[in-house]
Amino acid sequence: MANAGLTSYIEKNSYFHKVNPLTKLLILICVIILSFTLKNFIYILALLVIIIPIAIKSKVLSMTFSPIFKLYFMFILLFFIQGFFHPYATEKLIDLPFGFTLWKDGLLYAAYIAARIFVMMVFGYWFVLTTHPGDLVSSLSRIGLPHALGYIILTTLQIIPRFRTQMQTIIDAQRSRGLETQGNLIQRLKSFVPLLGPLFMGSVQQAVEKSMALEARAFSAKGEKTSYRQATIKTKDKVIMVITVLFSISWEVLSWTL
Amino acid sequence: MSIIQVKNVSFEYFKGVKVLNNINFTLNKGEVVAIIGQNGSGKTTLVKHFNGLLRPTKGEVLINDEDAVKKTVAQLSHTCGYVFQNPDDQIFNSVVTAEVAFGPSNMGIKSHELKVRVNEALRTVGLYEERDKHPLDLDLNQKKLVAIASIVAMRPELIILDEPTTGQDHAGLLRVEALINELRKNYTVIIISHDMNLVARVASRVVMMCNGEIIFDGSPKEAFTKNALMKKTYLKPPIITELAQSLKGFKRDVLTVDEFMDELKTKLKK
Amino acid sequence: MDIVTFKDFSWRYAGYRGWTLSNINLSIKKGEFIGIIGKIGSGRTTFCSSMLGLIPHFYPGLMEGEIIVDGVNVEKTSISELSTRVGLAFQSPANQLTGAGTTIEEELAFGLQNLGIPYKEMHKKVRDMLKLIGLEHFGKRSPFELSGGQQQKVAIASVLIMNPKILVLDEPTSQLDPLGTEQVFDMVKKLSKKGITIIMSTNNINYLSKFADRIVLFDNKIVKVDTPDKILTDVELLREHALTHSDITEVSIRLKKMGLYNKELLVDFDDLKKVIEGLIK
Repeated sequence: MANAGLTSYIEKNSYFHKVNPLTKLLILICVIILSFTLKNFIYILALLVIIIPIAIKSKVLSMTFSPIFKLYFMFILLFFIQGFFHPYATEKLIDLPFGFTLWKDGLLYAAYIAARIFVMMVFGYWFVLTTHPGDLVSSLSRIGLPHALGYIILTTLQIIPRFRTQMQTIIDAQRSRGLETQGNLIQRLKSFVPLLGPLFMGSVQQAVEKSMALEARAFSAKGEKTSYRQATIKTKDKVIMVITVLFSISWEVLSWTL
Repeated sequence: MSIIQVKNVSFEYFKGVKVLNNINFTLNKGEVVAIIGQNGSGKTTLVKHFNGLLRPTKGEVLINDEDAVKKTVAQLSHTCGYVFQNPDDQIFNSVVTAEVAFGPSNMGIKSHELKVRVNEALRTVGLYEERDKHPLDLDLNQKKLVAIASIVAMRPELIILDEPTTGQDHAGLLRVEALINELRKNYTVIIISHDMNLVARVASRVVMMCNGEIIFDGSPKEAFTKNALMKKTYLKPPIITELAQSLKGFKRDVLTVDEFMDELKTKLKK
Repeated sequence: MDIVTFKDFSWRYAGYRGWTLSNINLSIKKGEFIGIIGKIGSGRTTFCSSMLGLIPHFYPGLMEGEIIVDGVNVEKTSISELSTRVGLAFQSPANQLTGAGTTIEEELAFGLQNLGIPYKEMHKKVRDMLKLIGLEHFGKRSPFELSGGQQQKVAIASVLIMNPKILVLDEPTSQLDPLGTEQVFDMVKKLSKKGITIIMSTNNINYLSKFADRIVLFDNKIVKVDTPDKILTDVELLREHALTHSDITEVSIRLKKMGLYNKELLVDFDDLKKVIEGLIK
């Protein structure tokens, strides 16, 4: 699996993998704006009708929806809390025993929030699955993202998995010296210093070496930089961008006028 | 008498990917066993089963005839002391003595007894004079010795040294070699090493691993004559052994310069 | 022609009392293979970092004397400018991977991007470099998936791609297994044959004896500079500086004592083999 460390990017040869990251970013931004401004949650949910063919065309359909299923409990909780305890609720749906009341506007509010989260997550995940982080950073650099910031974004994505491995080694080393890392709260708190001490020192050392490695490769050279990955904006990108913007505006207007 | 018995052990990190494949291995008291093989051959994975850091997917590991599964890592550490490769992965105290005391105090050892153990361990590794220093002020050779002392102070029956000579210079190398010879008097020792000179000098037994299997288990002399196996694991015997093997009529299991000279003398007499 | 010149160079790290290196005078010729030996703390790493300008630009401290590398004065030249003249690789393979790219290709391209090399030229250089290090089918893989030896090769290649004339290697194999060590040593041998000036710190005496033109023994200063067969057989000198001679040399010493051999002490495997074969005939 071509999984680049922490990122969930999946290398596939699909129509949308070849679309410029900025185009996909525009789609994502439009969806986020829409989900905050559309009048009715039905209009928000309707956006899902669009993502399904897009995800199929991107060859990542099931993956796109996978995080949603992991969060079903959160959605249940959301409906429960808002349904029963919405602070400004006025419209009763049903009275239940023990003085509990299920509120209609509470449920509507929950549905609105749920739809928002749902849609943003699905589109967001589709974006991550189909967009190579290197391409994203290089495209962003071209429209003004600072060089150093771009590097930080990319390297963070890659270093976290290494961090995790190192943490595991330290845990193993200290457990071999009889440290209890499980058990009650006090025991866990006690294990904090032996685990974080070496991790911190190690990270400092790594940071020093890494910055030397960067310097050795002319990181702070002045003058224009180039990019190994080149994501150009093609005609199809322009077409998709125009469609996205036009659709967003019409959908927005529609939701408020109908 | 055996300390460790590994019976038909297989281990997988992910389903279907065997890192250890049907390992059988018995470690007897007083041995100095060298586990050799290239990175990724399963050496570290195997020894992590001895103190419970890893649990077998299949098969069983007996520590002093008791099933290791029933014990925690902390409990097993009383028997099996494991010194990790990189001392920086474990050093966190600001004084050498405190660092060495960490292990035994986790075992519940206190006050006078603790002090005795720490001092003894520091004397064993030759760092007693350095006891009040900050570990970060020590050089690489000495940091390694702190890590070893911190396990010695726990007084386990078995001490596992993972790559004890990596990053050491010649002086450090000699120190580690002398230390292993000191440890073997009171402990059973396992070393994981790529350093064939060290293996030739200290090991009483060599276990060669390749792709998660033990492909050889025997004496160092025998190990270094198994050229095909050595090649398979990308290992080279010590240069003196290679020299003897390259000469017609010489014994193939020469391990030291002394042995080589003896061999040469007998050849010259003829 | 000298490509590196040290003139009375001394260095003291900020916050330390002693000089890590003092009075270094050394000239290195173009295409030479220089071996650096010395115990831990003898200043080898400091020496290696000085040619790229990490000393004095990256580390704080006090510098005296001057270093001229490929015609420029290190003290007056930025590290990024020096990086097109000097490539530096050090111990830990993983810490040298910048993580700036998700693939080996991108890792290799990183320096070129910073130098503003045009797209087409950059791609060609990356392709050529992958071929040179024998990883042409791994270009799209993550460098973090590689073995230590391969990672180190990528690390070396990633500075080499910037076309330096000098390659400095600071204990490049000390964290590698025997296979990894062999891979890296083979690569260095190849590069040396191509005419790149190599300066390598390692305690692998057997390797140096075969490939180094000269060896420099450090102990916070330059103790001695000489050919491998002179310096690596100087038993007393090595012992004085906490190093040791190889078993090959030891055998030749004993042969001498027994009166079976009366020429120079040996350090090379094949030379010794010939001598012994002569004896037992």
